[in-house]
Amino acid sequence: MDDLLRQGRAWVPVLKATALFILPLPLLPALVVALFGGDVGRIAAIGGALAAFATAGILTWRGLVAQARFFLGQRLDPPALPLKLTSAALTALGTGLAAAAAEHSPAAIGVFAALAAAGYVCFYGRDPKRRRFAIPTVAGVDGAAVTAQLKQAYGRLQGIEAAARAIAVPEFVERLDRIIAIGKRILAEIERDPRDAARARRFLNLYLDSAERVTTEYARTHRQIRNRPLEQNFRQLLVDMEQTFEAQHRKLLENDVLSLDAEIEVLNARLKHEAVN
Amino acid sequence: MAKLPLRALGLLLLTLMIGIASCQALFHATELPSLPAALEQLED
Repeated sequence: MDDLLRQGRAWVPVLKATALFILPLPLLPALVVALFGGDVGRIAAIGGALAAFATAGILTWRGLVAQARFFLGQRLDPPALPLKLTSAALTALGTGLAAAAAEHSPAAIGVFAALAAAGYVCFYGRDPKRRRFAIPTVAGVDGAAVTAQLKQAYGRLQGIEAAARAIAVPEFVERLDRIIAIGKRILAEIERDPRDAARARRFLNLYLDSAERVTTEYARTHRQIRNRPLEQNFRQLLVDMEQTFEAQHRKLLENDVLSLDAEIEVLNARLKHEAVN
Repeated sequence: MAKLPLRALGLLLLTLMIGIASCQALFHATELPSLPAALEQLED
C-alpha cells in the first residue's frame, strides 16, 4: 500500500472517502441521547442513517482504491459491482433517515436525499466503465487470450499515462503522449485483426512492460532529485521508444497491405479461371 | 481542471445536506431549540 501511495496523485481521491465518516458525526451523540430517551423510532432512524453512511464510506473507499489501481494499470477491470453508484444510493438513504430523525416532512426528506445523492455524484464522480473488446473470430487464434493481452496492454498504457502526469518536464510529457497514442493505435489494430497479436508479441510482452516500468520509476525518482545525465538518458530512451512503437505500427499496417494484396491475387486468379470455364 | 468546480459543488452539497440533517437530528434528539427558535426566545 505504501508503495502504491507513493505513486502520486491517483491516490489522493481515496482521502475523499473520509468525508462520509466525518460529516455524519453529530448523529453519534444524537443516537446516545435517543437511546437514553428510549424513542424506538428515532433510534432506528439514526442507527440506520449511521449504518448507511458507514457502509457508503467503506464502499467509496474501496471503489476509489480500485479506480486508482485501474487508472494506474495495476488492475485490468474496474469492480464488477458499481461501488460508487451503490454508495450514492446509501448516502441518499442515510441523509433521508437523518432528515426523518429530525422530523422533516416526506417531501423535505426526499429533497435532502436527492441533493445528497447529486452531491455525491458531483464530488466522487461515476464508476469507471469496463473496457469492451469486439474481437472477430479467427481460426487458429484464441480470442480470450488476445482479449486478456489487450486488457493488460491497455493497463500498461494507463500506467504510463499516470506516471507521465507526475513528470514536470513538458517535453517528456509530450513525447509520452505521442508514445501512448501510437500504442493505442497498435492495440486498435490488434483488436481489429487478432492475428496481429502474434506479430506484435515483443511489443505486448516486452516493450510495453519495460516502458511502463522505466517511466514509473523515472517519475518517482524525478520527484526526489533532478539529474541531468539521467534526463538525457531518459530523453534518448523516449526517442527510441517512439521509433520502435512507430515501426511496430508500420509493420502491422504493411502486413495488412500484404494480406490484402494476396487476397486480391487469389480473387483475380479465381475470376480468370471461372471466365475460362 | 474543468472538473474542479463540479467537485467543489458536490462537496458543498454533501456537506450541507448531511451536515444539516445530522445536526437537526441531534437538536431534535436533545430537544434543544433550533437556531431560529433560540433567537426568538432571546428576543422574548
